[in-house]
Amino acid sequence: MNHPPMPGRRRLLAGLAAAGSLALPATAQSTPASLPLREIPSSRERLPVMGLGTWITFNVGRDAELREESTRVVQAFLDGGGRLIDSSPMYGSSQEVVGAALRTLRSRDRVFAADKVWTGNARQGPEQVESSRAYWGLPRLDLLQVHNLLAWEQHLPMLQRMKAAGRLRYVGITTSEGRRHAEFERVMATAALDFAQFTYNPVDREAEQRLLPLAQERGIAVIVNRPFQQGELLRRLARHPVPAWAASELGATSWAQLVLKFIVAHPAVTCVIPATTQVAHVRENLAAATGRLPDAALRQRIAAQVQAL
Amino acid sequence: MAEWWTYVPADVQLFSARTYARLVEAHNRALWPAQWLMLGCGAVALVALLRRVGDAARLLAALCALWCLTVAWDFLVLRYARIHWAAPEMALGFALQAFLLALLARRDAFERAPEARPRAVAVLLLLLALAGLPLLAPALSGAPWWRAEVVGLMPAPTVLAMLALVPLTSSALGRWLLLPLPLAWCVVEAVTLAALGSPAWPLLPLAALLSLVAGARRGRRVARAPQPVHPG
Repeated sequence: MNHPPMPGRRRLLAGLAAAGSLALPATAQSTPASLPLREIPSSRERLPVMGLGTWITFNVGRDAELREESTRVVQAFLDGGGRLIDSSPMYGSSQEVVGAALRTLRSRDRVFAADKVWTGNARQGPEQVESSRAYWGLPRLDLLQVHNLLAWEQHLPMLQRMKAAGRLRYVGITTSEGRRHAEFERVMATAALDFAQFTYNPVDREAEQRLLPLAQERGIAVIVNRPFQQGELLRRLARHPVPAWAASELGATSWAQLVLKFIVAHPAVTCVIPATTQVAHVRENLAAATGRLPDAALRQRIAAQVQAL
Repeated sequence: MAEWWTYVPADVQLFSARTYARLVEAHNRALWPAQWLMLGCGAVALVALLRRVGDAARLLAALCALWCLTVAWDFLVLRYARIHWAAPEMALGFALQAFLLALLARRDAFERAPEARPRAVAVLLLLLALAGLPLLAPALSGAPWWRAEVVGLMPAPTVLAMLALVPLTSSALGRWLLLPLPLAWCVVEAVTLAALGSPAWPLLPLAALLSLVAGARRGRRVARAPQPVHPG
């Protein structure tokens, strides 16, 4: 989900961002910007529509320089009004790196912590959840999702029990790249879920047929992963100029913003989680959520344009 | 893994090329100057092979056993495990391979006077392990020397050195005992490099193929050789 190499304007933005954040002041005092909010149907709690993914980008081990870079990304995200950060035990050191960033920034109370349970062994589920919580350094996680439906029959009851006991706020399931949609749909239709996470973008539109309408019908909040096809989509699009109408009609100045606007404009989408290692990209992504969003006709135009390239 | 055919290398990738390169660099800096010790030991084995010393393969097997242990502990457990959750299992595989290599070295399961062709393949693969792979990253991409992958410190050149042993084994059992881990690592390495967008991803699979072909040819030749006739 990384952005492609930066052209001149992006380099300039990145340079300015880096210059402005060489030090890492605690952000508890800074006022977050306001982002458009979407309601979580099961609770009516409102969540900023732009989230932050951590797959690959936050798995930096103990590399001090890269950890500092990750902290700057989290800082820019929270300062820009973002709240939901998504991770998983499957993402290497990502949970630990997010937790360290929140500790450095003293911003644990500002984050909506979305994590996953990822083990085929049901007995290991509670232990893994506790380990994830400790990495984040939070008294409790906000959302736990069954990663890629792995052993979901065993994990979902465990998560529901945690929620009932007040040790968890929301329960969900995830998949990616259109895999196991039939089973995913079946779980969405039958289980008590607060969130469903899957892939959706102008190219991968299978979710429009069943999953997105079902989420609306069942009152399930939707998190969209892999908005840029792991960066592949943006690398492909980077060879072409952004259409003039994107800026004039939507205020989108990059392909990334156009793709994100397409996604968040779908009424069933609660939050999208692009991942990045660059502060400039965080700001660019957050900016995509503000301003005008495309209507149905413009969304079709975006999809047609992106698919044609 | 359900619907496994829908997965591409990028789907199982956990870290970026940049993170991995910096990890290799940190590993090399932490162990400096062990690189020279490892390369020096490898050079001794190479010279022994070139000079047709009878115990050359046995020496290489013993060295590979030691290298497997250093890779398992220093790289896989202490470093790679920070970014890859399967690193402890990988380390276990390398430790087991060290045991097998030590066993084969002790039992002298290698040719004392290998034929020219298997010996040439072994020399080529060992050269790749000692010089080819370490030179690859800095020479191809202009990366700093600290990112060079050195035998005994990193899995890929160590696996290449193990593949060099395959054509030199005197028994089919020895060959089959030696092969599973190097072959598995060739797949892991190729998938990882392909996901990271490195053009070097086919290198290890090609080396494995070369080693397999040389090993299989040697096996056929041994099978066809006339058996000694026992008098009476």
